[in-house]
Amino acid sequence: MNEPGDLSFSVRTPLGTLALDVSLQVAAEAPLVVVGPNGAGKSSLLLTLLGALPVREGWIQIGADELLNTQSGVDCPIELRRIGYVPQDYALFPHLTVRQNLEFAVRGSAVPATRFERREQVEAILHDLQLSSLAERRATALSGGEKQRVALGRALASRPRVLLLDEPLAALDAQARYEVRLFLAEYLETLRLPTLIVTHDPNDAQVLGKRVAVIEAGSCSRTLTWAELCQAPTSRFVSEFVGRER
Amino acid sequence: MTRIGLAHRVQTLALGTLAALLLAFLVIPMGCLMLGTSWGEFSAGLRHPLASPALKLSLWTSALALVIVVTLGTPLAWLLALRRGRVSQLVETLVVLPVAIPPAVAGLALLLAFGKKGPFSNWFSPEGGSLALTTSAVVLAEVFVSSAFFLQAALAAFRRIDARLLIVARSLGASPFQLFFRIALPLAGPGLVGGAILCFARALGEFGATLMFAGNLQGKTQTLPLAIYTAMESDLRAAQALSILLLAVALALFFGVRFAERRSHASVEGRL
Amino acid sequence: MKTLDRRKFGALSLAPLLGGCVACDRGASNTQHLERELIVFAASSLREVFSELSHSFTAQHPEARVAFNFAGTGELKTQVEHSTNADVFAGADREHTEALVRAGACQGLVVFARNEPCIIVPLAPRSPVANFSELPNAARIVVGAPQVPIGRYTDQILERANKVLGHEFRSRVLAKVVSRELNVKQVLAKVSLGEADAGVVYRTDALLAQNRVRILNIPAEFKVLAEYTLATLTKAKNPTLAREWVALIRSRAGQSLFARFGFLPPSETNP
Repeated sequence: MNEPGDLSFSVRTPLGTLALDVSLQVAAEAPLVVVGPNGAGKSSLLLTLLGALPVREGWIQIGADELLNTQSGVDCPIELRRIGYVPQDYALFPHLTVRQNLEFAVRGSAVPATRFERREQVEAILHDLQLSSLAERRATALSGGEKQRVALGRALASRPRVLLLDEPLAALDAQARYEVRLFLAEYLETLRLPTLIVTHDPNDAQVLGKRVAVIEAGSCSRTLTWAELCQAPTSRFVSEFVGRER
Repeated sequence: MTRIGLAHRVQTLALGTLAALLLAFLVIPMGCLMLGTSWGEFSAGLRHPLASPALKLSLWTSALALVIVVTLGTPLAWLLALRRGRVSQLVETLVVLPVAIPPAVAGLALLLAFGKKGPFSNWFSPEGGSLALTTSAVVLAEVFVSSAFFLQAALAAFRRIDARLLIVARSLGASPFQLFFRIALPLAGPGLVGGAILCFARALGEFGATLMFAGNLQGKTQTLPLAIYTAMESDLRAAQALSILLLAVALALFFGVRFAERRSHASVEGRL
Repeated sequence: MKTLDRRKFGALSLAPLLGGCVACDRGASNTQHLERELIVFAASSLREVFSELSHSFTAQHPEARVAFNFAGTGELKTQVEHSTNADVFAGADREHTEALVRAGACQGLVVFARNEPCIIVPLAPRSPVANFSELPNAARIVVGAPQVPIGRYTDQILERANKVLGHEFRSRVLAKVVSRELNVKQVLAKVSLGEADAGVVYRTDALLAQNRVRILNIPAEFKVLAEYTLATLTKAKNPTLAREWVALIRSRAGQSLFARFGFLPPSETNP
């Protein structure tokens, strides 16, 4: 259960008028950026991996560990999948402080720890993400960039095996976006976790991810590098997407 | 003034008139109740032998009813809010139904369920027992009629919680208890408090079901509303004084808990 | 422009429409009242006999309708004091009617029947009470509240019994009382449902529920008879009809109807 491993999945499920059909593999050293037009199913894909949306047909695996297999009836509940999730707008618990948000995650992580050890873990994360001065602030009293770091720290505090980020920079202003993007890229490098990042920003695609997956009308079956995408745009959306490169 | 300005004035006036009509209709009878008694009559009415035992009984039975409704109703509302299937919709309709049932009907239903001729009669006592005409019956009747008010408010409060917060909490490995006690309950707090006020007020004012199921005995089952009704048979002045008392108690509780609700709201929003 | 005018017109026309409705209603009910409807406020125990009587009344007066308001005598008195909607008031005692007469709301007090309180016990489950002196054996007793006539009569009966039977009879019985209802029909209901082992109601009520309760007589020495009185309202909208109603009650036909239901004649001397 604790081994690191690549994330691989193949899910097919109806989403309203759309039919989600995505089969991909995400390696630990290569964060995957997921792009696509609005309503194409990007955020929903994250939710299916998380276990928050039902999957009609398919399977999800982390390393050798099966999280979902509709054929054999395996369906691990959200609480046990150990997947870290940072939604758009971060979803920090508004009634708790930064420290309490992190503590909640540490409590929920499957690793048994004494109160002292838990405190140490929280301190470590606060330090790593430069949040120590904000520890006692209410989650609602933070700037966009600070919230993002707290949300990230919280997701990591539960010792996940996979990280899912939904539009991590969308709620930031242009200046913050630039700075946080660089920070995030570096940080993800040190983490070495299979990571999926949903974004609509071509800059994110270039900087944050090693590979790119394009979901259009719910389907996607391969990943490309940014360079490959630019060389041979596969659709109108893609050519516009890469054309906006600075 | 322009033509449009005038038209807007007329529309506001029309809305205001409709509003004022209902407001007046609600306030005037209460005004007549309060102003129709002199202070002397009021204090004499308070010293009426029916007053003190009825007030005490009403307060503690309603409080107990509230505790029962909140303790059992909060998990119920939470579980119903989590699931959206047809079964939970059916359950939701059933538990909110008592709002539409006339209190007398509720009283009769309780009598048939828990009375001498009910299905549980042999559980209460080998020769056939009954919960009717006891102080417990007062609490049960109050729970029955007031729970729907709390449940509706609690359901709405839980449903208002951003679903993503719950998803994130679960993805962090939260157990059902952690999810309920640390996330859902604090966030739904203000709504739950509001529902509790309504529940308590309804329990305090309950009359029809208690009269039928619990009876009317001073000190044991004669709640304040029943005392008022009984007093009316012989002494309208006393009934008036007791009514003002009940109104005052309800108002005091109402404002007191509204204050607490505002504080609870502020703390959730991080202003405290 | 067009929508503006229409809205104004709508708002303005609403007022006379509402006014018209109110006037209409009052007019209709006025005429209706004058021509046809006799409104009788009567004690609950008179429900069955008065309903039966109204059939004869409408047979004699085809243009008339009788509408009833049955409730506890005290409640009715309060309602009469605060409204002008009744023509006849009939209560289960003298007190309330006399109070109304003293206040000028009623006139022409007449005792028109008497009723005898009795003990009732449920047929099922079996009651531990087999006669009056065994009342303290009951586990639960339901009687009328002291504020209503049947409750007062019950208290008087217990007082008398206490003097004769001794042994703290009254307090032993009162110790078993679990509810003092505001309406004799409520007492009957609780005993019929088996929630009480014994109750005190009027004989006329008990006779109506013979398939559910058994009647036990109260010994003559303790007995108290309820006197039913009626009076017409001074502000009655149908004074003629009201007088006719009273006349019907006091007539031979009326009195024999009362006897059939179990009432006693208004005095010993009357047949």
